[in-house]
Amino acid sequence: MKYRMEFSKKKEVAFVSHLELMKVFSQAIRRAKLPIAWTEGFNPRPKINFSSAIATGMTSLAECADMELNQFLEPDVIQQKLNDALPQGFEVHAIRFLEEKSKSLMALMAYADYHVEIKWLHRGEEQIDWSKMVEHFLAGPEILIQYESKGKKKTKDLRPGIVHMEAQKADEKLVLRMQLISGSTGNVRPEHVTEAFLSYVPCSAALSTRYEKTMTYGLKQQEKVRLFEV
Amino acid sequence: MLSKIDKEWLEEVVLPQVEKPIRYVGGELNSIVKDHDKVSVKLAFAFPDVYEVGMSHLGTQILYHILNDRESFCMERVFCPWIDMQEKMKEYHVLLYTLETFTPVRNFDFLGFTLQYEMSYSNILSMLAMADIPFLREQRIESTTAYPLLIGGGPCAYNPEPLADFFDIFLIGDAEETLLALLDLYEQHKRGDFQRSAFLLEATSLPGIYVPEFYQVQYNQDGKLQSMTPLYEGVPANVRKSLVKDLDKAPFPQKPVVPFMDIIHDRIMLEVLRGCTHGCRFCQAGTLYRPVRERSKETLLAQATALMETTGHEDISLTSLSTADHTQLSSLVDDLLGMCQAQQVSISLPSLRIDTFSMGMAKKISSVRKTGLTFAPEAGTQRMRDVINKGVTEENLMSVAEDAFQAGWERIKLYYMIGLPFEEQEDIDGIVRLSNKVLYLGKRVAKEIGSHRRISVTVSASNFVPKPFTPFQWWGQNSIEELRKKQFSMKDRIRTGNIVLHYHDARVSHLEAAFARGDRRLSRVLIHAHHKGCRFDGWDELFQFDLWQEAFEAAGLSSAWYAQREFDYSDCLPWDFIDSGVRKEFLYAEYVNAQKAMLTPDCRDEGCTQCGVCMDMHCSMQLQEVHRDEV
Repeated sequence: MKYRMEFSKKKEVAFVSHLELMKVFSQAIRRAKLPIAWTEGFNPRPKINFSSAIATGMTSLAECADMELNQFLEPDVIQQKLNDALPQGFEVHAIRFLEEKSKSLMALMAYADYHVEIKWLHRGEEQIDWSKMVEHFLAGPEILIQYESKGKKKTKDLRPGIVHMEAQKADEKLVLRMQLISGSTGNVRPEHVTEAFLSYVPCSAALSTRYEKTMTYGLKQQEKVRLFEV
Repeated sequence: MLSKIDKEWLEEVVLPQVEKPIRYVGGELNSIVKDHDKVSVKLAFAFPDVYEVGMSHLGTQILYHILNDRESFCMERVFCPWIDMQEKMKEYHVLLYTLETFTPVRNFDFLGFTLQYEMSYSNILSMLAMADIPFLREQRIESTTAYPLLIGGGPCAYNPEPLADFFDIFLIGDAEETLLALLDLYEQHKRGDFQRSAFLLEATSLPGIYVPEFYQVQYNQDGKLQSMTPLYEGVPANVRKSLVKDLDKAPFPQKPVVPFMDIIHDRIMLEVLRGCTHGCRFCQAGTLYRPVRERSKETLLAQATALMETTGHEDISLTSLSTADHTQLSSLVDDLLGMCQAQQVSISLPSLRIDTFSMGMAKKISSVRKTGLTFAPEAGTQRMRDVINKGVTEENLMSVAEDAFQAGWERIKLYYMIGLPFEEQEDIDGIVRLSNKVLYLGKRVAKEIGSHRRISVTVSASNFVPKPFTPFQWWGQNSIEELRKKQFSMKDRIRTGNIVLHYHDARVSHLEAAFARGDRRLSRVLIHAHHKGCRFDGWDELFQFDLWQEAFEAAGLSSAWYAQREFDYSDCLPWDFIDSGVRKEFLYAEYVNAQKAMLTPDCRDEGCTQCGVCMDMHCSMQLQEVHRDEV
């Protein structure tokens, strides 16, 4: 019996890493005494798969996971039991049956929306027209960044992966909203886009940046749909 | 009073700049956050190492549970920030804070340190510096600022002297009952006009409480300790350890904190017994935790059930000094397996003895997950095993190893010590010979059962460190050069890649011995070492021996004098004023027996060995059955 759920990872558990997140769910499933299915082999693992690795420090309103139970249970019963067992900061807000043949979340996932809050070290950016700035930022043929992965220096063009982006000034904060490709066929990280954007604008370094994933999407007959519903 | 740390600011600005920020935020399942306005005694409990080490410590979880169960007390946790976080805290002026409420530890009534390992002493000073608390007790007393009272406990508190100038109170022995009594007393005193010295003086009447400022220490001209005498009437000349006589009734955490982070021992720790009757002569824990006390099967099953429900861990470890000795082990494991298998929870036995080990048990517990097998012959020859009173033979080892290989294990870990008293070169050679013998046995068995898997033996050889309250406390440790020579000689003689040799830095073991056997004057060395930059000395990558040498030199002391000097029976030892329950005469008789390679039998099998603990402390072994379970 397969189920798909959508859950949030809130501020108080922002620093839980992806590996730790998997442990959190395995332990919660045990505490909730859910009849979870186990993998075979020397080191059995609970059959639960996550849509993507969420970065340490990032919060999310729309993480997805699929799990398999050995026994039929009503989705709302599972939701209740899991929420009672999960540590504060995690909450399952939707759960549904899943067709046996459904593709894995990893394969389905295509886009994600992010909300980025930036606080400034110094003022001096009042003159900037943020909408124009974003327009210019996206107008070029490519947005190249250099980053390090597994000890190797790499260059990447972010532009094809940015579906949409907007900026808004609110009080002391600058808020960026962006939709990026996210999944096994291509992935752009909001941190990279934010860094590239901040080095593009003519003002001082950020004091802090806070990232939140607000929605995850999959593709259904080439249509963009909420991943939970695919 | 200093206000709390701004958590939001810390999380947004500071923590994204450090490795593993989850170490510094708390909020774990089962952690307890109390309103400070509603409690009367606040204790910050410090483990002087990183979060993942400290959270693996069962004692911390036990005390957390006991103290927080009391409505008017609160205990909050603090660990030593890793060096990157230390730098950031300095840069942003963040004081050392507790994980529960982000309160600076300076604001607490007590700051308790658990002393598990001598090489974490430098971290105590790092933490005090980060907390903005003066190191020396005298400085705190003289200051107009109020500081928390510093308490030290744990196994290293049995020789508290190297830390005596820093701490206000040491708690020697089992802390479960005495720590509560101490906080009760404090609460009473706080209701009236609190006088620090009146409180401390009354505290000395509690079992296991040592207040260093109440003693005068005198030294001979040759530098040896002459005497240690109480300064005031009513202060005990000898501090007897605190003992939980009935372990079965002792409180045990039903809802331990479950870390998000992967910690060293990420599992349910079920303490099945405390103490050990085997009497190995190198083993400090074997003396400190006497007499042996078992929890009953019923209690343990109830605890295991509760812990599985409240933690969700995938492994239960039956912890103790010698789990195979539990008189109900076999039926306990059977019943536990029945509970665990449905939830895919596995059981592990961390300490297996060669003479009581059975393959049936190993197969049983590996039915969920197959774990590694470790055996501890401790020494390479029969003579040496007799010297240390490790009552196992080569036949015992070969027979369990054969069983293990037959049952399909391919890798066996063997644990030895080098630098033991009365050791000869042939004992070092014996380690290599015995390990080879186990390897060839494994290869032969593999061939017989038609297995093509690679057989390997991991040999771990640690450097012997003489510890207080053992028969070997008088023995002077091998020099760094001697230990290295022995390590190289093993390395030279191992000629196959199927034996993997691990050994430790001899310089670390040298300092460990100096602090284990040290006196009050070492406080000065620690302060120098801290200022020179020593911290996390138990971590190879951060250990800086040259700085330690400079620190000893600056204090005008010699680490070799402390580590390598052989004590005379007539010498006054720095820890003699502490009464572990085991008599000094007994320990010395054991030292003499060691020299003659004479065995002393297990007291539960062959009668009382007159160590003194049961007679002097009016207690007895707490065994659930007359005989050990057939395993």
